[in-house]
Formats: sequence, C-alpha cells, structure tokens
Amino acid sequence: MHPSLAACAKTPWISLSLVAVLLLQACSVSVGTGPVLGGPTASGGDPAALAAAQADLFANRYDQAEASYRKYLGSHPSDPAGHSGYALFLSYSRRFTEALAEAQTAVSLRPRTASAIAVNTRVHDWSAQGLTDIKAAVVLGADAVKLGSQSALAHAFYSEALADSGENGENNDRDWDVRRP
Amino acid sequence: MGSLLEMKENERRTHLHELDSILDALERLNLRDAKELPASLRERLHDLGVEAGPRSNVTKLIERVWEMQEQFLRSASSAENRPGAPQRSSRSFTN
Repeated sequence: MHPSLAACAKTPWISLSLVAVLLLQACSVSVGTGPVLGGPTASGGDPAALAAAQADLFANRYDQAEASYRKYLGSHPSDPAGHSGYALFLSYSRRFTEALAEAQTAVSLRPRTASAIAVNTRVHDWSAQGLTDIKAAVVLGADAVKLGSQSALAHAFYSEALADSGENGENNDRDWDVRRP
Repeated sequence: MGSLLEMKENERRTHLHELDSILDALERLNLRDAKELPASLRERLHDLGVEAGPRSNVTKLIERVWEMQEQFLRSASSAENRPGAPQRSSRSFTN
C-alpha cells in the first residue's frame, strides 16, 4: 500500500465497504481539491499562463520557467497557485529560503487549500535541516492529503516526507483495494 | 564523500521531479475523468517502463507511478538504517 494511504487509513479492518466509508470520512474533506500545480487559481488568475510556466518547469526549461513565474506573480501577486508553482520551481532549483517564503505566501493567501499545503510539504521536506523539520513536513503532508484526497501529488509529497522521517505509515496489516485517488 | 552523497541526492530528486511531472499530468486527466491518454504522456510512461494504451485506466497508472516513486524514497535506504526506524513493507497497492 502506498505509505500515504496507509497513514491516512488508521482504521480497523472490518470490511472493504466500511473501510471505504471510513476512508472517505477521514480523508475526503472536499476543500481545495484540484490539481496541486497550476490550479485552482484565484479569481482573476490566468490558468493558461500558469500552465505554460509549469510546462517549462517540467520540461526542464528553468530559465523560461522562472521568467514565466515572475511575470505571472507580477501580474497576479495574490494568486496562491502562482506562489505554489513558483515555490516548487525554487525547491527543484534548491533555492530553499525563497521556496519556503513562496510556499508560506501561498498558504497565507488561501490557508485551507490542498495544493498550497502539498507544495509546502515538499518544500519543508526538501529544505529540512533535521528530523524536527521533517516531522513538520509530515504534519503538513497529512493535512494536504486530508484536504485533497484526490490529489496524486499530495499523496506523493506526503509519502516522501513520511519516508524521510523514517516512517512508512503502515500501521495495520490490511491491504486496500479502494479506488484511489 | 559528501559530494558523492550530494550527487546521489540530486539524482534522486531529478527522478522525483520527473515522476512529479507525470503524476501531475495523470492527476489532471483523472480529475477531468478523461477516457483517453495523450500519446505524449504514453510515451513518457513508456520511457519509465510503464506500458499504457490510449484507454488505460488512469487510476491504475497513478498507482504504478506511486510504486515507482517508492524506490526513490529515502526509507528504502538511509532511513531504514536509522536505529528504531520502521521497516517498509513491500505490499502492493491493490490486491
């Protein structure tokens, strides 16, 4: 089982259907769900421009990605999705001080958004200087998957933080076949 | 020694970056309830060793990518060597 799913599912095994219900109750608070990157943008945001920046990022066109994110944030300084995307870019670039600032900005603009918290998880995890920082990333990751249970990336970032903390989240002996995410 | 570890860490994160990208693409398809996988995405999955047809189940593919991600998680190596660290399970996602 994927570690983040296991961590999210610390419930006794009774039946698969009950497990599914418990899992949904525990993990599927429908606040701020959506793709972790590039969405949802704030009202007045520009999803296409953000998607273009992200495409540059994932194509390893870092110079272009940085220019696109900066331009985007210049035009949309209050869009948490822009700050989250830029935070992830900065994290890949190992510019962790800036990444943390951008991730925090995203969370402060829209505190209960899975995407912002998921990126904050990754940034905290990768910038961690010790176990305390990693534990903080784990707490953030748990929150992210609770808010965005449908997000594959939120689960991925949470699993990574769990692994970095030395935990694997597998507290029971049961497998799941609940369709997730 | 330090630089070797750093190189390995950079390599690990490069792999995670690539998997992030694919997960993000799959996540978007899943949220749109898309029925068809773009050829470009199938090609990227193929490069990872995951064969996918045009109408492959997106959820299953996400699970495959998660499984691939697990090999790049730290607990597969260093974290398990820490005293008291729990052992990872090799159990799969779905039965």
